Amino acid sequence: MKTIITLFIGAVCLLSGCKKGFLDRPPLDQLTDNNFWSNEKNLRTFSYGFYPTYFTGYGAGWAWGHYFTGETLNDEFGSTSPSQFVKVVPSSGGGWSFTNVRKANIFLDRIQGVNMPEEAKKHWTGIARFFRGMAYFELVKSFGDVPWYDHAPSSEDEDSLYLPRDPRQVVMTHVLEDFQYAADNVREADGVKGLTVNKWVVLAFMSKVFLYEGTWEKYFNIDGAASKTFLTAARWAAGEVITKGGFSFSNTYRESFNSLDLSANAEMILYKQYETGQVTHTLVSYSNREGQTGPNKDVMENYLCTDGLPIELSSRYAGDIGMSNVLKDRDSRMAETFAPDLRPVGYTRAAGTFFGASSTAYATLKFLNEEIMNDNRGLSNVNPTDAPIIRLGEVMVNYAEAAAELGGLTQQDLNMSINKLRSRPGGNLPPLQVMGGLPAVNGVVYDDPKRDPTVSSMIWEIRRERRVELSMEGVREDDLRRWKKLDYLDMTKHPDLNRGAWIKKSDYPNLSSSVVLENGASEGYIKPATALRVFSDNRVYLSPLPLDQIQLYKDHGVTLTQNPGWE
Amino acid sequence: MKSKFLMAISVGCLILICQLANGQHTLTGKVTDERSVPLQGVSVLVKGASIGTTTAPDGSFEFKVPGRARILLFRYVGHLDKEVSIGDSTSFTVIMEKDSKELTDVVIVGYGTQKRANLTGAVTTVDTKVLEARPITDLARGLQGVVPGLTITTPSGELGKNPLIRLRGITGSLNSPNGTQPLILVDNVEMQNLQMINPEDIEQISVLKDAASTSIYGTRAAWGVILITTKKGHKNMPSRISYSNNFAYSQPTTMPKIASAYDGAEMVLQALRRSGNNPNLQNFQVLGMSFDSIGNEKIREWPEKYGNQNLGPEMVEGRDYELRNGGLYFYRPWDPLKLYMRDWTPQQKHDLSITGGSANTTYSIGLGYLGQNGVLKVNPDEFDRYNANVGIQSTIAPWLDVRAKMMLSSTLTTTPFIFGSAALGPWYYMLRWPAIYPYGTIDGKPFRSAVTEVAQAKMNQDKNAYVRASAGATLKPVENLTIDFDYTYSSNNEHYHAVGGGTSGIDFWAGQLNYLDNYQSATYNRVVYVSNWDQMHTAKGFATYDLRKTDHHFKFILGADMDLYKSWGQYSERRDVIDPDFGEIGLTTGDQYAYASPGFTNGNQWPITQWSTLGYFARINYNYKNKYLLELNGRRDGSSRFPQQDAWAFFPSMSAGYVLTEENFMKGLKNVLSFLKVRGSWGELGNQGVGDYRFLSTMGSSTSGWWVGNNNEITFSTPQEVRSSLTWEKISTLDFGLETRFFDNKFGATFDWYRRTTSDMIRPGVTLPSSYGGNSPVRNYGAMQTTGWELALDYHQNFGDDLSINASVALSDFKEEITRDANVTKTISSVYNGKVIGEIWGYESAGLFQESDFEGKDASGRWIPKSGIADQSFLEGNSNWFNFGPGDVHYKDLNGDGKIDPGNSTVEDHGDMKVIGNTTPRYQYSFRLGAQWRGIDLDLFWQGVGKRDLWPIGGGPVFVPGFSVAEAWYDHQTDYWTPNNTDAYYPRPTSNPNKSFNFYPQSRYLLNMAYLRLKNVQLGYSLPYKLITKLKLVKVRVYASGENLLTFDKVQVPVDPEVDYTTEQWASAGDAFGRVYPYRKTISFGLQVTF
Repeated sequence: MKTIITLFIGAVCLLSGCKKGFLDRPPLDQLTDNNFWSNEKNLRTFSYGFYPTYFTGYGAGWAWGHYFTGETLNDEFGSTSPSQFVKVVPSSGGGWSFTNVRKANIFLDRIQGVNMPEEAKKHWTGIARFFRGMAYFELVKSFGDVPWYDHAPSSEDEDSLYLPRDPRQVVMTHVLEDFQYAADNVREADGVKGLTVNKWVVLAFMSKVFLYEGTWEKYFNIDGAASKTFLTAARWAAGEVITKGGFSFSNTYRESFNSLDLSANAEMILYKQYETGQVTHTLVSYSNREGQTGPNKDVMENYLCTDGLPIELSSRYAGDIGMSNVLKDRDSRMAETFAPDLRPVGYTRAAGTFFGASSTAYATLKFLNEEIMNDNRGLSNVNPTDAPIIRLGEVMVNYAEAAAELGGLTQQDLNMSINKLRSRPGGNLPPLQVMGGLPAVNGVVYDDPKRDPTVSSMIWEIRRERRVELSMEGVREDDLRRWKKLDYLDMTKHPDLNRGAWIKKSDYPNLSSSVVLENGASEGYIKPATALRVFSDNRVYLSPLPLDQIQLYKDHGVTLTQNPGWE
Repeated sequence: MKSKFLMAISVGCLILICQLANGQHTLTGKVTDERSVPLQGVSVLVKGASIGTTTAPDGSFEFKVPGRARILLFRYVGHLDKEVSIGDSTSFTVIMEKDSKELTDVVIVGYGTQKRANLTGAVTTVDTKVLEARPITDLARGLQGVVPGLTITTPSGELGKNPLIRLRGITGSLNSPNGTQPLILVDNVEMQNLQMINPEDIEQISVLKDAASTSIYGTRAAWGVILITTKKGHKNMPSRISYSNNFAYSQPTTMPKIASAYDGAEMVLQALRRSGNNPNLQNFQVLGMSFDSIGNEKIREWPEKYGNQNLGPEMVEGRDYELRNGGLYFYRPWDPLKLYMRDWTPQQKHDLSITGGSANTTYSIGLGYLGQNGVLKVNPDEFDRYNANVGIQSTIAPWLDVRAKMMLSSTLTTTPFIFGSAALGPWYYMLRWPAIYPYGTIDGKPFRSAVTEVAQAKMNQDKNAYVRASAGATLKPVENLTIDFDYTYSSNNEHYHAVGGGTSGIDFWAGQLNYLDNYQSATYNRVVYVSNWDQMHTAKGFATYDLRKTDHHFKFILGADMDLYKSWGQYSERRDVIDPDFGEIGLTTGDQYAYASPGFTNGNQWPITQWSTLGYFARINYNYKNKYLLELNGRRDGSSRFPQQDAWAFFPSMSAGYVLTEENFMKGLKNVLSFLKVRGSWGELGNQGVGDYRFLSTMGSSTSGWWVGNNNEITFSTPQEVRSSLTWEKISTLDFGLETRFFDNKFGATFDWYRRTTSDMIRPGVTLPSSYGGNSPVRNYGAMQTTGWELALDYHQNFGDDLSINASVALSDFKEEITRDANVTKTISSVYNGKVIGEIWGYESAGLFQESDFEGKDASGRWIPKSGIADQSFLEGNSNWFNFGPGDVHYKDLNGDGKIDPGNSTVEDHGDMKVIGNTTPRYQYSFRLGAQWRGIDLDLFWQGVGKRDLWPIGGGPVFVPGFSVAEAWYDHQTDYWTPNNTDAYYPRPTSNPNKSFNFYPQSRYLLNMAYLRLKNVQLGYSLPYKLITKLKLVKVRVYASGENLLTFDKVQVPVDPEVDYTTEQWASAGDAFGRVYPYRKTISFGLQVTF
């Protein structure tokens, strides 16, 4: 009996693991915060976590980026149901998210403990600060004042969790420090060129971010000194890229948007790679097979004639009846952006083409790759053309604008920016000149009669150049916000926003009954929408903060102020 | 030995006495149970005379009866009385049927058995007859409705899928990945996939429901245990061979029907006119198909002109389609379900079992085959299962028994390769497009369609092989002490092989007839292999000591058990197949990919994971005169899912019972009240099912979507803050039960009330502001409670003359509620203190607006409601075309503030919203009625749910008319509002996303998923034993059996009331609601023979 009991106890002991560590089963396929931060390679993989957020490109699968009609609130397209301004205060969410701020702060903190050379540490610190700056830029753009966090707060640190909002110029001053540090320390070359954040990417974004903030502070009369600092930073960063980055125009304008491979395009500072069967998008298909929201009359009239003059002034302007007239003697970028024919809903396609119809009859060409448009790669959501993320063209218009906004724009400034754009392969416009602070071509000063009288004629032309160069690239809404010009989006005040091409119904025997012309006429401009967008309240310049956050702060005895007009 | 001797003497004496008295004739025979195990000690009586005998150890009897004797009556504890007419026979083979409700029955419980009368916990045993002769593929489907408290649901009819099994509640803990899924132990070892066990191999099933019964199994038994033992041989049992089969044919219970071509086009047109702010709209396009008034007229005429002709699949230009002015018009309607769905889908099942035993050794062999076919005519999916189950036990010394068991189960699921960016299945697509979507051919070439793709697809093969080997021994060193050791190794290997390629057809999606040799993306030109492995080591050892001192009976158990589990998997893919008929990785030329975690297969998703548990347990049972019963359990549990300093915890449980009918003062009532017991139990268990590594700040890896060269660069998630205080969740159950039987045990009732509390539930801690930038670190803060009750009734009666009837009823209900949570915002969609699990918030609908509700329209064309009608404009959102008007839903102003809105969407301020329903199945019930007369038996099993509501998560076009405005509309949606049809069910056609405009969750369209259905009906005939004994057979039964043949429900849309939303056909869930593999009803017949 005794032996058996001993045996039993022994067996129990054996099976239950007197064996030490039987219950120690750490994860086999996951790293933890304790063992992840060991080398530069791991830091690089972590940094890729920010890329899809800030470098969306043409999106992925059916999800659009901001290109083409991905930005819905702008003055470029004539939609049948135009997007409206935000009307309601969200109960939660609404973009008030600090997830990426925390991610960047943790990244920044952990980098300091990695055993690597000082140069590498500085580089990665710069990368982390760059992404923190990007995160804050997005927040400031939406909300204006936001609390600044230079570290990831602990969940138990009540004092840090409930910080009140810091004024935007304070926050953006910190962001400038982040960008400046990154610009000084991030490597000029790192990883694969064009696909990895390096010094030039940092500088290019720096010009974009501080042009935004500098003009905002100027037009909203917030802080003149800060505005100047930010515009100076934008101009400097853009100048660095233009003069030292080694980028140039090796290709035509359109080749930056419809190429299967952008790696050899010297204009690209950063681009997003797409590959057949791996990562793909829908922009080619939407330029081709699917029905699309078409560009409007307003955007058409923005393009200069080949004599460098606005249509109102140019003798070359051929009117807008028929697409060939619309495109006649115009800025070459126009024919690279818009399709050469009109495609109202129900139009008869040319043999061998599949082009979908457009709500305005004007159609987008900019993103179409003719080589793949009729094969498998041109269908549905499997298009593999590469997307620019940030390119020399944008940096140049940033430069010109920052210089002009700072005052004292010189011919040299224009020659190193806008006139480079005009003289790129395929370009057909004469250089823009500045004479006594006024715009001129071929030595003659001009002033667009359609100019917004509150905008100086030089700035007006620089903004025109920007709108042309960056057409359908998802920046227009931001531009209008920082210029305090959201009223440009009011369709009741700007009827051209709701005008498509001029057509004669009888030219299109199968025209869809959904195509309505102005005043119900049988010929005239297409009127895509019946319900119009109205701009009536300045409060929409800043987004409302979510109610739950305001309440939560209140419950902790801290005030989180709502943006003006949303209280 | 001694008793055998006495028995022999007494039998001998009886015979002698009989002979002396009135020697007429001698009857001999043999009595066994249903499994042919000889029964010793059965009373054999001549009915109406006090003459009888009892059977010998080999079940035989022999005695003399007077000539006038007509009927023999056999009686045996735990079995139903059996009467046999004597007639001219002198030799009898009698099979006694077990009475599973009988109190003397022995029930399997954790680490042992217990007499039913002496149970103190909530344990339900399942009569395995419910599994017999049914065309069911797995055990879980057979258990549906049988056990009160056990909820079994199947979200769709897809082949080879496991139903969801939940015990006492659905959710249990908000962290539990499978809700209250009980631990399923087959021969005391876990089996995760119930498809792997053949229902025919099962001998006994017990469901342990309360903590006191399950706590001996420790941390993994937090949600109850289903104990299953498989068949084994019995000593001194002749070899018996049983064969049974079942041939079944099934048909979908209900499927959505696509609206007629004309009705569909009309609804789309009206909806588009509205959303486009264009009442004059005449033409539109859907996926390259153009519609205009000319075309619609042709669509309307087509069925009248050609509907009765057999036109074949070839489509004729002008008649069936037309290219007009650059547009592609189709006129001919098709019914893909009718064309491609079988009327009857076959299934067959064959089972063979061989059991037997000598004086020392017993054996059993079970073999089974199941073959199930899919519903489609082209390339149908198939599910095959092969089972083998072999067991042997032997007494090799008086103090030592050894045993070994081997179980093999192999399944093969064959499905056509799915082309689609997400897992978009053919069912989704066949129900997706309007009726004119062309399923015909032009010049013999098919159109691009789901059916074309299924027809041209290679078949995916998903093969699972489950193997389990166990060895064990029982030591009996001294009297009353037994020591058991068992070790089991089990492993499942899943191998999935898929070959894509391309499909050819006329691609008309861009509005032209464009034949392509391959219209699929290059991504599908691939070979995929996925393998998943898991393995588990289970070892158990325990000692049982029985101690009897006159009226005191003690039983002690002391033991330990351990589990060690590991699983891992891989996914390999290579593109550009040279020849799809030879779809192997070696025969491809393109890019190759390998991943650790497959993301999709028919089986589970198994990244590499491991865990272990270890526990020591002790139990004391005490029984005084079978009157006072007490049980104490203690278990010290260790789990690898917690950090080392916190890996161990102690969990106690106790239960007690009091059998009132054992009291002397109750004896007088014995004729009426045969048995009455009250019992109560309380116990606490730890729950380790909270996720694998929650106490570590893990950094999950995933692809970033940023490609450099050929790499989708890997990235890592932001590490989360983890609190060092994180520990076990605790689950405690309080249970009170009453068991009673009346009228000589003929009628019985069992009632249980329970409350299960999940405390220390791991929940996000305090709500943190967004400025924190992450999720609030979890802590043991929350609590939830399940309160429920269960009632079971049974009745059986023998009327003599071979007629007996039986009936049983099961009824149960529960409610789950959050009782503690740190959420202070209390948004109605979030988890908050007081939330009832499954609640659906919505508006109350007052009906549809009529023109009389409005003053008219204003200048901009908006309808102006009459005064007194609440302002609904908030519900219009930012829409520039939707404005509530006649034919739209009229929501009720519940808070009387003159406008309809959700307030802050919080519990404190929820505006006009309220809880309109609950998705939890309430009042689950079943009842069974059975009768046997001579050889004929009839059994009806009804099962139902008293109350269940559903607002499908994603809505989906079957549920929300206009959900995808250009896709198919359905026949049931044609009852929509028009000025001439003002009391319609549906609003006027509107492009309507889920949870907006006319389809905010609301009382009017909330689905009523309650049902009652005839789950099984069975009619059998057993050949008379006289006949079969001549054929040297023991039992022959033929039967017909049907599943789901009758259903009573009030679901407003054509979906089966048992379905739920599922991601099977469309990864984004709700879209596919109703467009899934159909749920089926089945008729079957078969044969059962025992040699």
